[in-house]
Amino acid sequence: MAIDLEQIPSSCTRLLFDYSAVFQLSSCNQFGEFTEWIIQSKREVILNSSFRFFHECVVNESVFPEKRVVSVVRDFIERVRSAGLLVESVQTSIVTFVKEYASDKSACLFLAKKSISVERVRDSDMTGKFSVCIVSLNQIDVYKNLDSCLNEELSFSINPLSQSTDYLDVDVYCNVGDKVYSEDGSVIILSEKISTGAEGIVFRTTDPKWVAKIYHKGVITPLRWRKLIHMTKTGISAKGICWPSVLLYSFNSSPVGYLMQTAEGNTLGTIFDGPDAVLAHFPNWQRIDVLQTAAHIIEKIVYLQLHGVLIGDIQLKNMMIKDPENVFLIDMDSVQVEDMPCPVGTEDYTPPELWDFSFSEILRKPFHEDYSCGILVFSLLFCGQHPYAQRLGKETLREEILANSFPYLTNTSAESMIPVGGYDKIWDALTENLKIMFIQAFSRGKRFEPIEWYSAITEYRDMLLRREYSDDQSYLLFPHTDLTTFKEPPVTLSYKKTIREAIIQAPLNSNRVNTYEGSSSSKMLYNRQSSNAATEDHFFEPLKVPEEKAPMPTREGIGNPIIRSSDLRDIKPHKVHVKKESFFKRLAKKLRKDRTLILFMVFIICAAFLVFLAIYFN
Amino acid sequence: MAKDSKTFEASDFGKSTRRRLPICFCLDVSGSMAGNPIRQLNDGLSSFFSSIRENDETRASADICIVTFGGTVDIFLPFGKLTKDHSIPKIQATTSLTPIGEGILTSLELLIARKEGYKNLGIKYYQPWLVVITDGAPQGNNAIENMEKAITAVNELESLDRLVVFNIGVGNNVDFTLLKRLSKKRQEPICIDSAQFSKLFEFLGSSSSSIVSSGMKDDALYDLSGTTKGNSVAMDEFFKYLED
Repeated sequence: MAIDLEQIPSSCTRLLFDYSAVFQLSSCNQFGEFTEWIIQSKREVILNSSFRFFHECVVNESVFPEKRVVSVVRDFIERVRSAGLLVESVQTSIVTFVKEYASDKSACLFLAKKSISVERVRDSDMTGKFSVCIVSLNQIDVYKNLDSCLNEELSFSINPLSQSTDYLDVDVYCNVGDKVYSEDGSVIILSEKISTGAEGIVFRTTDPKWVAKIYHKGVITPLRWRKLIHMTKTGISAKGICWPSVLLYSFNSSPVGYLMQTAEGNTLGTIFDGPDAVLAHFPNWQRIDVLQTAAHIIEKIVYLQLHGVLIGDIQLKNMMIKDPENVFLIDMDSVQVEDMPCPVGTEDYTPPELWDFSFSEILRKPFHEDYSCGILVFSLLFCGQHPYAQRLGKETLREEILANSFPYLTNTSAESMIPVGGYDKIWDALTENLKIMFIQAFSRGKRFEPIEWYSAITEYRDMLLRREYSDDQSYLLFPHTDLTTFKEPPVTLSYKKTIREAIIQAPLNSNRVNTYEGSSSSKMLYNRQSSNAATEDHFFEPLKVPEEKAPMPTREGIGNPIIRSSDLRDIKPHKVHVKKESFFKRLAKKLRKDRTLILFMVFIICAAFLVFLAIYFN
Repeated sequence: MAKDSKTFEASDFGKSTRRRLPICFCLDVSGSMAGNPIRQLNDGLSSFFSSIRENDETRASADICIVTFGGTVDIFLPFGKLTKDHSIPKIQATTSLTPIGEGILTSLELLIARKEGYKNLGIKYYQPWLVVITDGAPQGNNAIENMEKAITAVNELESLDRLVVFNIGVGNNVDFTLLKRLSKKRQEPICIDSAQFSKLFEFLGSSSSSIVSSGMKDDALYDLSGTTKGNSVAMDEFFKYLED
């Protein structure tokens, strides 16, 4: 293993380091020599501002022996800094950072081989005149410009195994008390069922640190097992990332599942589900706890990306929390590693351009993950709320997303579209930076890298930590919202009436029929059959399909008590006899209805009286 | 018939941020369902409810309502989330006619009202499910007219992707032509005999979980044959895949 430093062109006086490259170099024996060479030949080392955030993520996530990297990287930075060669760019994103130097021929960009950063640079479609050094474990490949680098350094193309729908035929059913075996023959006893999912069952084992996932029949496909083999070899062992560590086999050596570290607590889906759910589990939580949780989660996503892994199926259900310092990523067997795709995903977190794809047939790109990451950050900060959830909105979530309809833009208007429940106040309390990022992300479709979210979240967290807000409410989980008295908006009981009318009474009120013809949906729903059916068509007269301001149906409203049409059927006439009424009765009726008529008659009487007076006094 | 108010948790409408899946069961309780069929229907329903309860994600998302029709149309169970432990009362069969059209229209009314409620509060939702189970043909005053209205209404919502329809016929006395027209997306109505209820509800239960947690698409709900699975291969063959 040797890195030939002579390959690096002497014209390159500015070395741009992506964190991935330093991370890779730091596990190489020659890194000290390399650092010495930089200092001797007086080359500038330029880092983007996210470098230290990446490092922070590695500091927090990595465990021994990888932890060694931390001090190696720190030494490198210290030596370069004391030699006066360190330059820090203000750019956080790798793409904007590199773009600054696009036409600089004296620059040389260092990227790790097959890293997410290479893909980010590729997807940005920039042309760079700078040289590129691609760092792998035991060598550096030098390219004279970005184009030639990207032509040689190909991205992964999807593994052909992902096309196979075959699955392993096993007749093994594992239950509590059963034994399974690792490759080296050690015995693992499944001691207790934890949960059952769509793919398999998770069991406790006799070692509390490890749990076993045993797949259902028909779930182990060639791709799945190949990925697991690869994952157990790569062996990511960060705390809180429940990476498959040991493959499990049945007594007859048939693959059945894997071992992973135990996750504690509840899924984020159960916790981040509105104020009640959060406070039920964490009664003392404040805003800072939410931010700390979010920071630790994003940290893990960043850490995985440094190792070339995209999670793919990012969603709250695939994460667990014991407390803000102990969060876990679970269901890691579905992640995208190298050329093996993540075959699952949900509409809420998947970028629109992938909606109509079958996930098992595509490799996700970093900017796809960026989208999911943005949604995740928002959902965490807003205690489970989705950025596109809104009041009085469109028919489907898809339409809202496609229209980039982000309700927090219109915060000031009286008829706010922000979901009811204090979320507008959470928005108000955000840092300016986060507000701008959210608006750019959700109303203009900008994709931020996880590290950019990380830097924004930690900035907010640190401001809360230093108590820089003068408003005490800003520190609360739900600022300016009294959660003890928070009630649903007042319920209009008119709906109950509508239902009753719908089922029973509507025919009596036959002149309402035409008022609904305007709305196509209501017309279509409750079209009248014939014009004379007003009294016969007793069951379903047109119903008002609530339009903009729908009266809110509640359980009290609709269901209490059970409405039995028979209860009221006898008061509903099947045939209404329209009796001939006397003139005066009709007049009186008309008078009641028509005020102008009354005024008119009063006027006539007054006029007659005046005429009478005039004649009399004449 | 009395509704146990403890069956549901109180105010779940406003505070949870979860995306809801409104499911309205529209069930035939006319005379012909009496006896075995209604018992099997109840068994099926309760296994459906327990499968929903099994998965926290699904339980929190599923917003369930039951409308019954048999002589009259009743809202047997208004919309709400299942609680962990209270059981749902048993449905009783009546001795009367089959106002299926009215039943469906009431269900639509409730589904639409529920959706308006979501919109009003800013709650996300999946497109609602209408599960119609009948063993007969429309009967009663204006039954056919109302059924025609129901079909038109359901077809239009379905074609706009705003409703997922399960039109299910039980036994041999079903008016299949009419039932078939209830859904344009489903090739044939789902035909079962009452002994297969448990299987049907198992499918509904697992499908709702797939919608809520694995992002399954609505269109998949129209294919009852299940996902087109590949072949099962023996271990030797399986490992050959991995060698390449």
